[in-house]
Amino acid sequence: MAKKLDTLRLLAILILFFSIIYCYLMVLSPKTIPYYLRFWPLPKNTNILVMGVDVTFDKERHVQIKEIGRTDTMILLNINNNNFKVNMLSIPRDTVVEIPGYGWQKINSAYFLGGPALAKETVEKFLGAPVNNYIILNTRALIKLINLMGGIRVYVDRDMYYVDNWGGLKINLKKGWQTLNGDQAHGFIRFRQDALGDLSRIQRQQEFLQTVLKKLATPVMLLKSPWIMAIAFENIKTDLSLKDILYCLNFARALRKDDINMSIVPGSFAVGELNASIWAPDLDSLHEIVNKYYSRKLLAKLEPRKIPSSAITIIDNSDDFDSVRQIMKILYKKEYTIVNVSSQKKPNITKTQIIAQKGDETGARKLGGLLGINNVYVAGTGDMMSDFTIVVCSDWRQSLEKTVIR
Amino acid sequence: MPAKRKKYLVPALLSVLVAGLGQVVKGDAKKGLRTILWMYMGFPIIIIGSSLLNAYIFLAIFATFVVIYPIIWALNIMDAYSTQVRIRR
Repeated sequence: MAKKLDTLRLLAILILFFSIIYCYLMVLSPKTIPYYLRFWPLPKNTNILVMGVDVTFDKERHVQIKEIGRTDTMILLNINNNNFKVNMLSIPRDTVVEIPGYGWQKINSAYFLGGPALAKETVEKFLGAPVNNYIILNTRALIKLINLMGGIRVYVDRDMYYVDNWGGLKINLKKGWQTLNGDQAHGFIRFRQDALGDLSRIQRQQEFLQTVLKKLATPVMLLKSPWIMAIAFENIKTDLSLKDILYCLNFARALRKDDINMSIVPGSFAVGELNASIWAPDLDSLHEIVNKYYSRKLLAKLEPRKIPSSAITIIDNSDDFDSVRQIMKILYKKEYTIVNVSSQKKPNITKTQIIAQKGDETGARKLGGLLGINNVYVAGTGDMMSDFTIVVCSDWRQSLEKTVIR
Repeated sequence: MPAKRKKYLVPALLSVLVAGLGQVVKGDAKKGLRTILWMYMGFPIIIIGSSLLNAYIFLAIFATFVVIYPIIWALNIMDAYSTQVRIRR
């Protein structure tokens, strides 16, 4: 009897001991808790699409997230519970993708056109990776978070001045190390009046995120955690459940700089319709990154591409996305520059053809041989900005099959 | 008889490490174990459990505990440091 009691007591002490250690680990380093011992963890590999929505608010109004607006920032997060790493793939807002049902457009309008579901679908189709969940962030969340943290110290890489009265955005920052409050930080990560535009903004955002995570890891922030959670609950729209959000927050708290792999969708700048700048993705390099779970660190590490001689516009005339994608792949292999991909239809054209805008017929023939297109015209009806315009119709796929068989 | 307040440095330090451990070592096992049970099992279960309910209920409970946890802990350390204990003969 006494012996049984003793084992019981021992068991109780063991359980107590275990729970003490568990509590400490939960607070101090959640990463060290084995996966199967965690409370309601996310699946081992979860892809979450984080979208920062381009909605501006009045200062007085406590507006919850609006349904409309364009996604200025799109990041695909891959939370890897196995090796406790996060992979981030930033998708530039000007990336040209096929939005299901809407044709070729900039990716930032996917959310505007069809809400989170369409944005998810678009990214899934574009990257070929599943997107499990989405998080929509409001700029207000950022402002409040930075104010709560008592400002954040960052290096401002250039003088920034930009006033957008309509959007209520005012940026006025000087070069050098600065401690930014919420509004200034908001301006800092939204500024994109650089030569590289959105790309330098993405780099800035990634640096900024590292700084924020570093500061979030300090013990003082643990005391402020209820307020952080309140900000999160108020300004986030997501299909994750409450316990998943809490899990993510705890996970984010434990992240260090080298736990995060960041990359940007590779591609090249191009000028689209109405002189709007676009980002033409390099699909091969992108798929390589996706397959590696975004293991590449930064765009700078990618090989620089040679500047090819001719600029090309692709017009998708029959919603044949696969064909356009294939053409883009072929052209990228041969290092042509794709200036624009458009779904603005030319109803008078029914056969796949190449239009040589600037009179270079031999070049157009060469391109036609590469793609299996026999109809080559020298005309001024193509895109004004590029050397060649490829109008892709539904017959291209058949002609390609023929050339492959031959 | 006026009792002289004794100081217990080692139990106090142990209580800094794990709230309630000081009392256990000092001899007031019941009190110490009760503290440990609440601090490391009871409260966490309440907090984690409440995350299944509603965001704001969770937030209220969590915020309350963030405030009262350090207070309880500090009281516990002070208690371990300077309370008189009955010593059985």
